Parts: sequence; C-alpha cells; structure tokens
Amino acid sequence: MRSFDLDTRSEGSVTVVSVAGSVDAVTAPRLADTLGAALAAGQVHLVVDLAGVGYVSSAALRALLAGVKGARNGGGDLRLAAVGTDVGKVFEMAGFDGIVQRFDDAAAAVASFD
Amino acid sequence: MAKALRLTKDATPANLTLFLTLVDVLADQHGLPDDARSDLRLLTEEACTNVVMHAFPGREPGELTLELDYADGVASVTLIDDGVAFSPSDAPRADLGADWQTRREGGVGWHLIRTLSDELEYERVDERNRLTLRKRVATA
Repeated sequence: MRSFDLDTRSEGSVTVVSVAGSVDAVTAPRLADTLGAALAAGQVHLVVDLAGVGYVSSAALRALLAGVKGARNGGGDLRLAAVGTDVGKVFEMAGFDGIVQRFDDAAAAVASFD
Repeated sequence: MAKALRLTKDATPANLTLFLTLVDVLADQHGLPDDARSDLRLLTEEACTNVVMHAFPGREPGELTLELDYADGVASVTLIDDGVAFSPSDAPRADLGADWQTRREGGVGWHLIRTLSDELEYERVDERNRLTLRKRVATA
C-alpha cells in the first residue's frame, strides 16, 4: 500500500493543504473532500502543497479542478506549490498548466495572495 | 524469460491498489527505469479506473483481468472485462483548450492513455472487452 497523507493549516487568510504520497483514483477523493470542506467553510484562498507528491493521475486533476472552480467562484483561487518533475509532466500532458498557477514552494504561493 | 503477470479481481475501487501493485512487480522484475514505471502505472490506473467506473452501469461489478508483460523493449498492459462494450474510439475527447470555467472535470483519462501509449488495440470477443496498450520502454 502506498502511503497517503493530508495536512491542513492556516497561514493568515490562506489555507494550505499539504499532500504526501500518490494522488490516484483511490486517494484523490480524500483530497477532493478536504478541499470541499475548506470551501464550504468559506476558505477560498487555497494552496495545495505537492512537495511530498511523486505521482498523480487524472483523478487528482479532477479534484484540483473542482477546487479551482470552487475557489474562483467564491472570489478566491487555488494555487499549487512545489510541483515535481513527474507531476508537472502529467499536468502538462493534461493541459492543466494554463488553468492553475504554480509556485516554487508553499511560502511563495501563500505570499502570492498578499 | 519471466512469464506475463496476470491478476483477476472484481472490478471495484477497493481492488485498484492491487491491480496497480502488479505494475511495480513488472518494473522490479525487469529493472524498468523510474519514469517508465510511473508512465506504466498511470496508463494502468487510467485504464483500470475506466473499467471500474464505467463498465458495469446499474449492476454488480464483474471481473477485471489485468495482464502485464515486458519483452523486446515493449511493455504491454492488457485489460479484459465482461462489462458493456466500449471502444476507445467512443471515448470522449478532453477539452484541453477550455478555460477553467468551462472545462469538464472528466475526459482527461483517455487523453493520458492515448498520449502515453505507442499502440492501442481494442476488440470485443465473446462478450468481453479486450484492451491492449503497448509502450516502448528502454531498460537502464
């Protein structure tokens, strides 16, 4: 079993969701639920920190796209931090790069909301 | 030469992890490089997920057989299921150029399968779907 973990913290008005492990069809619903809960609580400035993620599938993209739509429709945004090479390759193949902003690390993504 | 790997299980979300484990076994057996392992895992996940999510509408999930093989620099991923007939040519095209407001959240899986596969074969035989994906992989 591949490990998967989520950690959510607040930095000012920004909610940072740190993800570790593989985000696949089995685990992506947990990411979607976490993002959905943040949005339902009115947290529309979201950073998803992918520093601990080495693999994503289309299920991850669905979860993130739903988060992007929810955040922007609420007047905020969902931004990505620390996208690794393998993960970035999937984003590029899926045409996801033009949709979501990426930053080198979580601190830069959080600061971008200032 | 190592034999092809084969696993048959109910086509349920709970069994996806088991199917994906087979990719690691194949990669370990043949010493496939990390990028090939990752690509094969993605191919296999997307194809298996399609069967699990869409092949058995309105009824109990049937069985999915996954076969993986590597020979002469080519990895092959074969899925056999007795779900509804579904040719890859019928798969929806992803709207990759759409903006965030209009882009559908689905449809990307088949795009990834087509992008990562060098060959794709589909046939319907004896009321079963048989999908074979092949990818050239150079060992380290």
